[in-house]
Amino acid sequence: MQHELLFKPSFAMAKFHLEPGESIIVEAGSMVGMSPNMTIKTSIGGTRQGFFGKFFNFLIALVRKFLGGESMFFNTYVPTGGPGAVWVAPGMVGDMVAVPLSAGMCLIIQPGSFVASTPGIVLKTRWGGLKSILGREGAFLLEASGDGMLWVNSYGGVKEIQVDGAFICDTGHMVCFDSSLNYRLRMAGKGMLTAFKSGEGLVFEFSGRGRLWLQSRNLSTLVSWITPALPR
Amino acid sequence: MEIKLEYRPAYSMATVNLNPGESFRAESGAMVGMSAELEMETSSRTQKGGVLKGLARKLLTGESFFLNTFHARTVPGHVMLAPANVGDLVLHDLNGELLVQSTCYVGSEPSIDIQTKLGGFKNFFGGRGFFMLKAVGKGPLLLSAFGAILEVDVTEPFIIDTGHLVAFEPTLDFKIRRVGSWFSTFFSGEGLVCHFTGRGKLWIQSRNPGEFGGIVGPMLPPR
Repeated sequence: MQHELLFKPSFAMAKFHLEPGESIIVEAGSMVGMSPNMTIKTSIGGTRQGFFGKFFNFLIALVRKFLGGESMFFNTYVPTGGPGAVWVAPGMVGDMVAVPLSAGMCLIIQPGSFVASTPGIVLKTRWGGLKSILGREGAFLLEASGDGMLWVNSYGGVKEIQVDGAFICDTGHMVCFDSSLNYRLRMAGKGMLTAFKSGEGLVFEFSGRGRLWLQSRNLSTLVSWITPALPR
Repeated sequence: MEIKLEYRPAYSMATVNLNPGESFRAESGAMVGMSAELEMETSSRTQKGGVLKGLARKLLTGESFFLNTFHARTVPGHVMLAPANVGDLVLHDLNGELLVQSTCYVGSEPSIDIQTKLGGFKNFFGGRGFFMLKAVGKGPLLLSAFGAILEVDVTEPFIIDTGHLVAFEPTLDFKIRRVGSWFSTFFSGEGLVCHFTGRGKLWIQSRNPGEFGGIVGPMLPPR
């Protein structure tokens, strides 16, 4: 499979060129265009088998949709009778990045940032805990593991940071990170007053070794900027 | 007339330089700045037709009722135009016809006729309203996109999501089709797609306004 990222960084779009037998898993609703020989299979995701397993997969899909800010469904694109191409773009303005994963590695992704993955990647919905809710990243995060490639999108540009030791980022700017990193939520400065005065509020403090991706814009800032301009 | 595009692709802006006797027509609200020597005329109509046609344009396509025409009478001047959305502009040298997604029109040479074309059920099911604009004539035509613009030379059938359509040449034919099985049509988030056949050029925007609204909208406070 060949892939290409076009129109970086403002309006990134990915083009996947698939040979017969290859496939790509894409977030529902992200397809821009495709060759006519592409077939699309829609699934709710999850790996559990059997009746109860499938029911559990369905519940997880509901959680992902209503609490995780992701789609309930994933689409798998497979070319038939020759090679084919599919173009994919996220809903948000901004960049995309290809993240390679190898067996035993795990990536944790903020809700809404998953775009596509190769079939070797397993996606799970993970309880983010109180720190994720208070950090306004939603109660559930997406966890990707396995061997392959994953594409995530950001609001604004995306920057990879090699964390070795400790690193602090604003909660609204976090895109994804290796699960080898530990993170905790804390106030930006010392004490409530600094957190309030600095305009930074809550931050994530990462520690350990691993990769962290940040986005150059913050969605809640956009919302608070648009809100006063809305008609009454 | 000379048109220059700057700040592409995110915050694109067009500067139209007019020589004496030339004019340029633009979507109302698109003007950023202009030389004081230019004269601006606001009309409620396209080239042919009248108030009714202007009203039809407003109600049916979501485009504005008014169009502004900038005239350079005796001295040259320039007008700067920018679309409402972040995204790219495309300058198309029209010679004949072009079908344009109604919200993508920014401006054109005044002799170009902008017609509201009944798209029929085809467009309705594509989720883009009933109407598209049909630009007919010869001269520069300025279109905007939400995101970057991908120009596709269609030689074999090509499928696109309806929300990403900007414009296409009339030599292309399109049908609205299901994306796959009925299950996929309802749950894939893709629904119905445009299946283009024939030969010609097709312009696609890299972002979908509806999808963007779906992300930001739920975060806004209720009115």
